Amino acid sequence: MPCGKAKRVALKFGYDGSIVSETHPAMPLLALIGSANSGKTTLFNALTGSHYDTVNYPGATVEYAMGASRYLPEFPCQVMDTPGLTSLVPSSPDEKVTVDALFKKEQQPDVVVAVADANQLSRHLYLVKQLQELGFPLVLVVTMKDLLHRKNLRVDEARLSELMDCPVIAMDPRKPDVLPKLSEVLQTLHAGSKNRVRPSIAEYESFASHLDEVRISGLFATLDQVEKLVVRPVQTDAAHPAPPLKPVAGIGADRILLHPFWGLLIFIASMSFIFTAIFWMALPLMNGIDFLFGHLVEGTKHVLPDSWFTDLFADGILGGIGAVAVFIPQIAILFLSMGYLEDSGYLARGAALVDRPLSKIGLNGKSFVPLLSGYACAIPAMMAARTIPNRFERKVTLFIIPLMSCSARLPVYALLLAFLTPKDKPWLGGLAMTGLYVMGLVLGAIVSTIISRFSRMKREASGFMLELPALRGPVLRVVVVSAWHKSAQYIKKAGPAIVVISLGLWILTHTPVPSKTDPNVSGEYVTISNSYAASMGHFIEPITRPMGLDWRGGVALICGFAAREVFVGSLALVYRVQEAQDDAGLSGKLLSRMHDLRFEDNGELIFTPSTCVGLLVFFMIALQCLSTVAVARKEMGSWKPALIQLTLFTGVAYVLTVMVVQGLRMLGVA
Amino acid sequence: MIKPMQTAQSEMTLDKLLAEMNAVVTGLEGSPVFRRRLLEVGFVEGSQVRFLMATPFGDPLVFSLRGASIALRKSEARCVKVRL
Repeated sequence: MPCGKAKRVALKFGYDGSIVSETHPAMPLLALIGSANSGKTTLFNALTGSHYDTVNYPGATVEYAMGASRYLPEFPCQVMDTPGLTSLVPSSPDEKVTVDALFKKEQQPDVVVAVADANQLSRHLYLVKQLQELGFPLVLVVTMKDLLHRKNLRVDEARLSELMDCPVIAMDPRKPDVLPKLSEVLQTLHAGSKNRVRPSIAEYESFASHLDEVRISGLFATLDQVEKLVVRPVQTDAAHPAPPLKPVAGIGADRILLHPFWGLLIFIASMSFIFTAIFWMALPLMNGIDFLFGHLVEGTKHVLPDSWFTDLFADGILGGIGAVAVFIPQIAILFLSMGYLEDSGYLARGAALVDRPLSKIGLNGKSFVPLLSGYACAIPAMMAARTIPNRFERKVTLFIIPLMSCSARLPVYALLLAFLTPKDKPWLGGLAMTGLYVMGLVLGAIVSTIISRFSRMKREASGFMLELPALRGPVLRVVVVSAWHKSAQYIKKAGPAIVVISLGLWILTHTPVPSKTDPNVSGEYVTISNSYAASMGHFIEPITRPMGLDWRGGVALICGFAAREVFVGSLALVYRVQEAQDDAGLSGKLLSRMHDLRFEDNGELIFTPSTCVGLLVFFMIALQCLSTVAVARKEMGSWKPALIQLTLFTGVAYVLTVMVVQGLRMLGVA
Repeated sequence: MIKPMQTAQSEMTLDKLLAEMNAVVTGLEGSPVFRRRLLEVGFVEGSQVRFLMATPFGDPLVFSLRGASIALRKSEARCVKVRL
């Protein structure tokens, strides 16, 4: 795998150099721009030594990797990686954000490094020509010349520089002396373009409106000539004629990966592997974290004096942090495995493979990655849907993403299934869990089929068109660093909210503070049943009772609307799980406590098989995540579809839950 | 001089190619949005294109164009007129 090897060497070179500078706002901004799979990210990692932050563009939720250049001695700057572009006239929302940013004052790059793959020069130079036409000062970096060399071809840099009228550097990442050269070229370029007039939006609009079919064909005709003139055989003399071209690398592998039988088998196997990893590999880690926080809470209470504030700190804050921390293994594993598949080039093949079945239900092969991400978290999944060019298909994808069982539902499923599964048949729990995940997908398919059959929304013709990047061995370091960034981003976004809610809930369940002198209100249980939360719970009890829950379950359910995973922690709080005598982690204690919780009025058990099955149905369908609603509004462009989504999913979930609970009870299931 | 019969036989659309067949793009048809996307990806008149394989469900199809592997739905490939 030549690309993988090249990438690794580039990174190794990165380690050898010294740190030139740290991120500084006054430094010039360098943007890496290029077509998808041109090697931008490899170059980005080489320039920054994989030390980067993900930042948001002003007014946009698209994340960009931004880092200080560590290996450009002559030209300290900030380097920005951008999503792949085919053309400056965008065809999908993610491309639009990149293009818009190029003309926004605050983010406009001072210099551009345009990246093009030597093996598909004419296609990639098309974007470079557009950038030049608009007046961006740029250096052209031609990558993957080692791959080209294997076809006994090389790029004539001097000639290309002359024809394109810009500095050209062919990158062979095996030769680390290229970056100092790039740095010099960039410095000269930047010094020479300081007083230039920056391309304006008006110029861009005029450019875009003049880019018609005739002009595009004309550009390609020029670029075909350029390619012909600069891509030359390595040996040119008549005595040593160039050998015949080898077939394009990776096609042999594609015959297997896209084979009607083996291709499907590999697809199913890799998807099964990801989900197995999420369930089973994460489990010991999750138990560890759960156990750790359980003891941390206990320990804190032991060390600090017995007071209201100690409980607030231990149960409210530490317990809240524990509720976030417990998901980290699953999220990290999902991001890791998806990053691995993406970096190897497989995800594009996966998307092509499922395009036909997905198109039958009103979606697109490009919905595949967003839906798969939906199993981690609906928020990044909705952002990933921006790569779908067709507006209708994008909306339908956005609409059904919340039905994919996100990782926040996992602890709820885990708790309820642990309750339902007989001790002697633990495999039943795993089977039921798989069933729940598949059901999410099935429901999504049903909803999208219904929408695409009955929607009167205006539809553009649908297409797929996707480049399948060359297959290569992923670079572990790049995959790990990227998964780390994504997980950290998720925790930063979801974490504080979860902790705040957990804290707020603790306060609600522990205020008003009972007076110590009153003999009637001693003990935790009495505190909670006189709290504000109790009044709330009692108020909605007529709604929760048909689901089989008392007012305390209702409180936990309300809290679950902030984020689903809060439900488990809330149950632990409202049902006073700390009182349970069990040396397990928090959820272990909760589980043993659930077996003897009773309704206050009639003394019947609350958590019966029918209630738990009902709750599973509710959590599978209901849209209990207000952050998702906010993102859905933004991505779908208005409140209406987002609110329809919220009320439809939650309403259907409630009705089905009541039907399931009452139906099971009529059938004699407790 | 080219006989009319021969022209009729060798003119076809991209979706009709058999595996491993090479062809040259002669033009595009279909909606402006499709035509534009196809052009920008590099399906311009005179381009060499090769049909590599179909995906497991028979659609999309994978083509080799200007050094890249590109997956296109049959409905998109139908917009590309080619000559063998």
